[in-house]
Amino acid sequence: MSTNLINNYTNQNKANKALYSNAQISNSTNSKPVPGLKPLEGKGHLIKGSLLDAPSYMIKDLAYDVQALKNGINGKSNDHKLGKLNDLGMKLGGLGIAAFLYTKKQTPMTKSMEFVGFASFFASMALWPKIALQAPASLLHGFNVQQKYVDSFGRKKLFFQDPQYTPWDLYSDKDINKIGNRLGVPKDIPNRRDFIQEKMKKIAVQNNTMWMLTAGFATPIMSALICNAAEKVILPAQNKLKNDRINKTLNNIEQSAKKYDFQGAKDQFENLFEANKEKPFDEEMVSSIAKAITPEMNPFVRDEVVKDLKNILMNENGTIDESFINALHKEYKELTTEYFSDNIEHLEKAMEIIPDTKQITDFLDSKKLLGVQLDKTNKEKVSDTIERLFSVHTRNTCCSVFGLKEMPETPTNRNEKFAKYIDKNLDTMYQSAIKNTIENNPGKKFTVEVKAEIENIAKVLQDHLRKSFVLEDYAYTKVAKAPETVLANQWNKIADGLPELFGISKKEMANVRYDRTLVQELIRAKIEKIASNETEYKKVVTKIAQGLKELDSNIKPEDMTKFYNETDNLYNTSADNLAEKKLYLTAKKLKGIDTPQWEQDKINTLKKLVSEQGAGVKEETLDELKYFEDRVSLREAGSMKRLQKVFVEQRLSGVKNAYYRLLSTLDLYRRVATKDFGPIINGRITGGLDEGMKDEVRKDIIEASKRAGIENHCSDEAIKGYYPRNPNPDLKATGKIDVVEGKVVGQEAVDIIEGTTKGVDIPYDYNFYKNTMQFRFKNEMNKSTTDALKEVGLLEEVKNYRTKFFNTLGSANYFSKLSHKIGKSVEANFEEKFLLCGVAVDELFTNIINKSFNTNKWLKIFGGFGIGLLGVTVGSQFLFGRMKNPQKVKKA
Amino acid sequence: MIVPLNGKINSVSGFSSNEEVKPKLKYDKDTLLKNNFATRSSIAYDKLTNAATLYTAKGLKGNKNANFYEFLTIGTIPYIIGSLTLMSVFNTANKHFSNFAKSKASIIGGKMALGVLFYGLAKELSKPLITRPVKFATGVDVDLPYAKVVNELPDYKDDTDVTSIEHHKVFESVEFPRWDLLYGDESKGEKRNAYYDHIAKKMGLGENLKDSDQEVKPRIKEIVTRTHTIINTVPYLWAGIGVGVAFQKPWESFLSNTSLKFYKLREYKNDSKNPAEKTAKIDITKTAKNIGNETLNRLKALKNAFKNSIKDFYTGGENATKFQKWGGKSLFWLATIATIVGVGRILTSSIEPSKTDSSDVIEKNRKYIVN
Repeated sequence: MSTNLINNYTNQNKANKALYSNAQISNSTNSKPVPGLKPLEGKGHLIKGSLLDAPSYMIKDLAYDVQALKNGINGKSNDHKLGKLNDLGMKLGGLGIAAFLYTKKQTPMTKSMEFVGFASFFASMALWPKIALQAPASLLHGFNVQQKYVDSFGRKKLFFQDPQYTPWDLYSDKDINKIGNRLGVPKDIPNRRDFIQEKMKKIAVQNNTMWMLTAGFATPIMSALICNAAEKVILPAQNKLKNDRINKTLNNIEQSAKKYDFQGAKDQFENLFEANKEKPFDEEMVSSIAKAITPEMNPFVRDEVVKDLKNILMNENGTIDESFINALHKEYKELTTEYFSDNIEHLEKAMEIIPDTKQITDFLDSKKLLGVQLDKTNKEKVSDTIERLFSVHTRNTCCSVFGLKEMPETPTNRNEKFAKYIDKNLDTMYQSAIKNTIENNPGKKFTVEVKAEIENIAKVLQDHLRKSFVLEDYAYTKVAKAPETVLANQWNKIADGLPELFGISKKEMANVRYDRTLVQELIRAKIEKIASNETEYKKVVTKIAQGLKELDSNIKPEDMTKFYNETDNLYNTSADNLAEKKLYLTAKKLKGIDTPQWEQDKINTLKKLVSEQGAGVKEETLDELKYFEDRVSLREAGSMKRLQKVFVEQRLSGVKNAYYRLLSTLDLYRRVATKDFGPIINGRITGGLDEGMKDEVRKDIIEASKRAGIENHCSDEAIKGYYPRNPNPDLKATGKIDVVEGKVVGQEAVDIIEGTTKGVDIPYDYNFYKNTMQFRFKNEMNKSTTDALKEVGLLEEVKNYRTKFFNTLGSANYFSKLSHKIGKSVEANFEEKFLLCGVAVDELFTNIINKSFNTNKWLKIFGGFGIGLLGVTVGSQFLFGRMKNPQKVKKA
Repeated sequence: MIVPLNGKINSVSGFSSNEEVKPKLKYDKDTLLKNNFATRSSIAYDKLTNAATLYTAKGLKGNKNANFYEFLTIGTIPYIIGSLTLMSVFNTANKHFSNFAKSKASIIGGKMALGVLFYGLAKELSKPLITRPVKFATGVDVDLPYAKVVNELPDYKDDTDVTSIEHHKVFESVEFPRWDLLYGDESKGEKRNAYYDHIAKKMGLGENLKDSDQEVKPRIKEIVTRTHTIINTVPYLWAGIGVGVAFQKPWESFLSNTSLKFYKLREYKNDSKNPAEKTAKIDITKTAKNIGNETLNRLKALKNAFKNSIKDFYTGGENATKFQKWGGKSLFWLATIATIVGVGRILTSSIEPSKTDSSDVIEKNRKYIVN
């Protein structure tokens, strides 16, 4: 150390190592050195650990930080500890931000990335100086510029933190000289240690400054790059965890359903009961009950529950009892008050006449109406009886109030007129009041018994909900149209690899990414090239097929069958149970209309037949099976059961068909590249490209097919193709088509951009359409394709796709091209046709190219900058520590 | 010779052979400064410019006078550059993307940039929430600045630039506060213990104490320690809130409709029928008016976006999940409670008897060792 003044006192008595007590120190004189007094041995030491020691230091540092916080709160701390609190605060704050942003993100990966981002940022802060400064400086200069030491109070500090206070005595002479040798300091110079120290200090100051200058650039970039790399590890790991978890739920639905706790719903129902106990049901109350007992239920199903509950709880008229009498009195009074409200005198007289509840009770008792249950059969009779009672009472009371013996038929004075007027109008009032009260008199009240009845219904509904949530969770996690589902991840996995698989360079991506037509040209050229090379072609087909096969291993067909069966079981059982509880509309909404048993038996028989006969099955059998299955679908249409199953079916087929289409298109190009134009019968090519056809037309069919494979949307297929061509083709029919590198010689690509069309579409040319479809989907696939697909185990699926495409889209009606039907009409809705088409190949590649370009561009900018920064920082070491060596000691 | 940014050079007798060069520093000894906006701005400017120029140059050369203060001051550079780089990471590449991707990425980039900005603003603006009440209640201003005159070694034989000014805070070290600067100068008629008397009175220790400095020093030390503890931790929670507010949906509309290019608005004079002349003349008044209107509109939009974002941050926004409903609230109340409890603890402790004795400048039970 440079200024250790206390050492001046230590030479007095080296033998005596005993320390003086504080009292002795206090009593000693200020000026006189005390014999034997010496400071305690310093405990400071350099930290020389390996990476293996890092966990131990991390734990110690954390304990120190916690201690620092405790001391700081107690008001007894030191500068070092308070400084450490800043680091602690920054990390806690960062963790808070990550936790908050975690709540904002929707998917497991994006949620995880918030914490990865937090960790990578702090890791980058710590790693950058080690990688860019410490390591190269250590290699070049032979010492650690980020050296840390622990002082005698256990405080960990950077050795070169303060150039004016450097505890050099922690370095031995041997170490310093060794560093000096590495720094090239001559050995025979005066004060060699001092010079080496100066040089080390200079290098350290320069490195510290470089650290501060570069950390601002390096930390965010390094962190972003780490996150970018981490995604590639985290996503597959999470996908596997998620898939394993969801597979388990399907195998044990009962157990999995238990996690859905409806305690909140139960509490809400109890509250409703307490608030409405013994009250008659009204619409609002029934809706509230339905909402309470069906938490998170699909609103369409809940509407049916409400209707059912209304039928159960509100479809009966009630009994003539106290509440009926109260309601009748209230209604009569209200109507009367409203009617006579503009004349106080009339109102007062009317009110005198209206019977009170006791009087009404007596009337009804006199006719033994109390306790009578109202229903459709007796409602009118009871109403008439009550009206008569009221009529007699009104007339008698009216006479009494107006001092008349009887109500005159023709009033002669004002009093009589007045009495007549009141009597007549009160008749209307009580008639309305009686009618309204009987109509609105509820049959059921929210009693303990009815509560138990509703609880039974709730139990069935909630059991269904629990299990349906498990199935919904399964369906969502596997195939939902959302980020990070198993299906989406697999889609991305295949799609992200396509640019490399098709040999699309970064430059090509940059050139075509804005324009789909440019992508069409590029992707066509790539496919033609691939299709011309068998090895390359097989590699591409195999890779895509493997990706799809991997999808089958993540979403196993047998699991899907299980899912469909479980869905059927759940919805059928729940619907039956609900029907038993008289919730007929809800039951229908859940499962649709039952299929008669004989039809179900028929379907099972046909399925068994198809399965047994395999490829040799008769077309009639398939048609019959489809007919009965369509009938079942029709009955189930609009039901939740159907919705649940169709959702999964459509999502899966949408994704699979997109890649089947790509494989199908690749095969088409391969067939063209290898001149595999169709089946050869009697030595002549047939199947759409018959040899006898005009050369120009044959080439047009090939071109139309190639274009359709890459470009066609569902709408293009729906209108049976739009292909502008020469209406008067050359008559030449040589039967020869030359193909070089996958391109048909002499066939110019037709530009169909509006205004520059070189030909016209010929809508009445059915043969052209039929031949194109035949060539695209009916002709056998190329041997290279079938070999590759067979090896992966995807041959049948692609074959089925092609057949279905040919039958469904080829035979669909189109109003302006009525004759363009290849076979007999096939029923298929728009959605089915849309899903069969899959995404157009050029559109698929446009999206992937844009995505890849964006990622590459970002990586190029910041990866490049990061590498440059690292280079400059490392390179700067060669400029650091330049000092003029002192003159050597001259030998005498 | 490295010349300070202010261009002032001090001379030390005996070192300089050129007697005409007698530059003077603003201060000739360590001087207490007022903690007001002007001083704070001046210090911040001085530190920032020195960090970017003088201290960096000294550091890169490995100058023997480079010290810890300069190292710490250079430490502001990574914060500034880091913030800009972080913004850049999420924005720079966007211009190369297709329009749709660009618009999506720009919204995320804009939110990220706002996040960086709000992080810094919230962190700095929350500090007065702690220091102001402490100063108001106890009189202790933990941010009280002073200028320190530092003597340096000459860089070469005739170097006259051997002193420099550093800006520190009186209480930046809790172990070695600059008590000496707080005493009054009796030679100027000032009362020696005026500052300490004031603190003692504020703390309710009474007036006209014999040795007010000895009474209040341990208490001040505790207050400063606690205040530093809170300042070094709690503002990061507020910074988190800043980021949370920046990541709300209402900013999306603001960001997608706001461009810095509105200054290009032009209004042409309509007094010529000749189209060529028409385009040549710009109506400055109307253009300025348009820019003014546009600025006002954007400010209104900014205000609305900010207000709605705060609301969404607290409530979770539309269709919020349970987590989202409680995420913002939790962070807000955590920061608020931490601030209130932290400041409350400082204030209540200031009226409690000190845990440390005034003679505890050196703790007797502690063994002191050099290293």
